[in-house]
Amino acid sequence: MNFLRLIYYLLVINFKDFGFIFWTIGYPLVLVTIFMATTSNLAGDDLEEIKVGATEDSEYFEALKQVEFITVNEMTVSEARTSLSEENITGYINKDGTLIVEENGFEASILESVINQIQQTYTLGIPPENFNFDVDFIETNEMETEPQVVMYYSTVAMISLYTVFTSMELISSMRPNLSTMGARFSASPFSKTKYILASSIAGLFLGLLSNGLVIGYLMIFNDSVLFNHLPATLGIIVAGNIAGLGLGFIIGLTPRVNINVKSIVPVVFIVGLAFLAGLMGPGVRTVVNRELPFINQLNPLAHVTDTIYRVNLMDNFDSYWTTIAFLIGITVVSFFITLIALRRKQYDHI
Amino acid sequence: MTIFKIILLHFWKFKWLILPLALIFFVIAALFSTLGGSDTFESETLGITVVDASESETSAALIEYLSSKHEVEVIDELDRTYLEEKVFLMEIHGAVIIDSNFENQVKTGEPAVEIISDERAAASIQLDSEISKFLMFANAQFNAAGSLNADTLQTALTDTVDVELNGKGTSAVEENYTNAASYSNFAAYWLMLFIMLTVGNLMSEFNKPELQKRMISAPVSSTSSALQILGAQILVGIFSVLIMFFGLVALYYDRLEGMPLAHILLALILIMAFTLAMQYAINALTTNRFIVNGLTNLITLGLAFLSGIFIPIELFGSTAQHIAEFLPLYHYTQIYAASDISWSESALSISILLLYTLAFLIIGIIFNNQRKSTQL
Repeated sequence: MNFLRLIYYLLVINFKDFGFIFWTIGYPLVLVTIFMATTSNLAGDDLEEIKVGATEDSEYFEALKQVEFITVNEMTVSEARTSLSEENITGYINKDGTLIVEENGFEASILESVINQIQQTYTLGIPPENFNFDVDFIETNEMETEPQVVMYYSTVAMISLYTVFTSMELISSMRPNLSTMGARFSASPFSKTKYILASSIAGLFLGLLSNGLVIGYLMIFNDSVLFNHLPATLGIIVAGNIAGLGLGFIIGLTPRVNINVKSIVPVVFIVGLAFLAGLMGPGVRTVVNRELPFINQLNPLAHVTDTIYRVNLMDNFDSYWTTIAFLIGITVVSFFITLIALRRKQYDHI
Repeated sequence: MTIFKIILLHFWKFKWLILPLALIFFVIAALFSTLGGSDTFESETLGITVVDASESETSAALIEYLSSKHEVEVIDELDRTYLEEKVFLMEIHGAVIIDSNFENQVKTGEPAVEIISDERAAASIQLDSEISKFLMFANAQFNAAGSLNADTLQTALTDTVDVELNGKGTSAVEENYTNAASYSNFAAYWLMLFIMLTVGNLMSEFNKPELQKRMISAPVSSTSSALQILGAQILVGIFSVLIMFFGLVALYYDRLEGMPLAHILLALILIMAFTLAMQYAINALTTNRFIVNGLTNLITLGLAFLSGIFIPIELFGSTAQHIAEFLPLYHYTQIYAASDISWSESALSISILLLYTLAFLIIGIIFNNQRKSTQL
């Protein structure tokens, strides 16, 4: 059979399977839509001002009025306690200089730090003329954090590994002891190499189509610009899809395991890797990177996620080729193992 | 009991899946657990990375001051991209770059350090404020005496105002509750994922027409067959619930005070029942394993995100918050919404979860009957 025709038939078979289309296209699109609906405020609210109560005769009253982000209002202790409970003010300064806050938190910490500074200026025992109150000792390099982008990028990375399913099905369908088709196939003179290549190309095409749709969807509907270097991103995604094919071959080799049980393995495997790479929010990724860094160093999905955001948001290509080499390396090793496992296999009975 | 045993035997095939899945869950739960709480005021601890190119007495004093209050990592080489990446992904609150000419800049009152942070965040203001204070004091010492007196400076910086907590603060009991609540939130996701994957794939095979036709001709009544299948599923479900529940007890065995354990156990049982009912409806609709796996992931992840399991619901927009209130997993979290929650307070959420379970059960029965009639 003509090679291109074989690829065409394999693509048509997959396109006719509603479940496959739902899993590879529908599911990722719905997932990123949920992310967009829930993560827009993940970085938290901006700090605009800290409201403080104080008695007018408090020694800190006038000094606090000079601080740009603090608003001071005069009030009694009992009024302050009510306002604190209702979270209308962050803190209250007593006549004796003690501070009352409702609970621990960033705003309370900033207020404490400012009041400490006023007190410590006296404690230091240096005449006031030696203090340069107008000098800015800090040069700020401002960044706008967007931790939610990791979730989008890990979704794209996750989809790039979906080729696992195609190659796993391919190997299972070719094993004579696992499927009827495999038994017929092994008895036929049809070229195995040709079939494996055609299936891999068809799987790669479907994987890239799925990735392309999700990227296009994110480019159209997401507020932030996520893909500043699209060709480089596609390069990583192609490598991810090829690695997915390799990993699928290995899973497909598992002997005498029902295809239904086998199909759960990549689902859990990919979701697990995506979870560690940041799919469920940056918190898990941060904790894993801090406590068990080797996990994400081995995690191909974390490599894809990291490289995509480095390339697109940091203009950093340092790890680009290393990641591609790592992903291609996975594929080469997997192909090699598959080749050894499948070649010259003989069965007493099927 | 043949069907019951066969179903259990099929579940046993998933053992190599369950073990790593459970292990990963418990490792992550242990990583996320925090220790104790406090009845007194504690300022927020910041994560800071410092690059010290100066290695002078003043820079050492600055690092010592920051380390006394925060988690400080000092690195030798300046890799701006690495630092920006850590700030960008909120792995640290800020990066402090100390120039080689730092001491001289502090003396002459010039900008002496560079801070990489998100200026919109409260943590950035706290970091700016603390470093500015140190540098202003150091500059004042240089102006007054011509040199830095690190001991006097550190002594002055440790002279802090007394802070009183108006509220109850974060007591150990509250901290225990927070730990239990986060664990139970993630446990629900794990339970749903595990039950939907195993039951879904097992039943998609079981419901295939070829097997169903053989079942019809077998000398087992449909009621007995359904009861055996349900019994096996419930047994596996309860086993998973117990693993999750006793996992919580084992992980926090010395910090159980303040945990509404009975509420958590009931919530886990209810979410297990709800998941089984929902999976029953899905399996009545399709035997395609791609749809089963896709729906499993979509439903578990979707529900977990929209119900505030992974991201606090307070960070959602108002529309997403309203949607969350209609979801079963949100009501699951409301069953143990406070450390001292009473049964009457969680009764509404319990009822809603039961109603959801019932609704999916009825939908499942309807679709199952339709499927059986079309197969015949």
